[in-house]
Amino acid sequence: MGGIDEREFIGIVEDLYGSIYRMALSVLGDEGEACDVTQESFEKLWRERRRVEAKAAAAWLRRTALNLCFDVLRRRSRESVSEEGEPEPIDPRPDPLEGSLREERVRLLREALGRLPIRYRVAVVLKDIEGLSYEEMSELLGRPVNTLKSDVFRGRRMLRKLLEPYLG
Amino acid sequence: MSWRENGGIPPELGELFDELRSVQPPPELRERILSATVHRRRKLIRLGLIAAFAAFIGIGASLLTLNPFRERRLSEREARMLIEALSQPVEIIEGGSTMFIESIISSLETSEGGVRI
Repeated sequence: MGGIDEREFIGIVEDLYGSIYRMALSVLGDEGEACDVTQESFEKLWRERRRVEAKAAAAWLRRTALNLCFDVLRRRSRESVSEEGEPEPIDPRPDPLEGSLREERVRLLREALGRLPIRYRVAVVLKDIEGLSYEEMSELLGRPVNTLKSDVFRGRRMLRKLLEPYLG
Repeated sequence: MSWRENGGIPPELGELFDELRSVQPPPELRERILSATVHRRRKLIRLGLIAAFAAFIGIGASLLTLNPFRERRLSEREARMLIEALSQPVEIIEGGSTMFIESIISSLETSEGGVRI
């Protein structure tokens, strides 16, 4: 008998809301939108709880959250970087009024991620921030493992280039 | 073997990823999720129970105050008393009008539910 009961659902929220939020934040780069996407993903899981197995909830949530992120990105009028174009370096100078050095580094990384083409951004986020295996990513995104490996490699290379002035 | 050769993460990016991984969601997000799901369902169940209880109390109170059976019980009791009185020997009602008694009997017979004499 499948399904998720109330207690299991609360456990899933406790375990995964941080991870789903971080994934949405990394893909969207906006805290408010990341919160909305996270909440909506869990609301969808709650509505579908009788049809989803507890052990499949994490993958289900990731897929739903990613689809919601894509919806948000589609709604946005413009992308700063086209699929083929080379992104311009970001401003590495930290603003002393913007909080600690760590926060500044995170902000720079988020900004750099936001400038990657969506497919590379998603690949890097799932691999390097979420820590998924290529097989899990392939199942989630419906793309071949080798394509994903190439996307991750290109995404990392672009990120490095974007952050070069800061990392240097 | 360098990170380029083994397909790994450049070390300086690795540190940044670690920092991004340690970002905490806003503290109210968890509560927002639970309010929109589990707590909302609980609230709806509680509201349903309160509504059912209120309806039960309302029906009970209206039965007690309006008492739709009270009048019927009273008329039945009066009818029974009349029947008992009528079944007494005729001498008791000597001097009374037999027309009056007949009209009572006929009105009882036509009243709701009827009365068996």
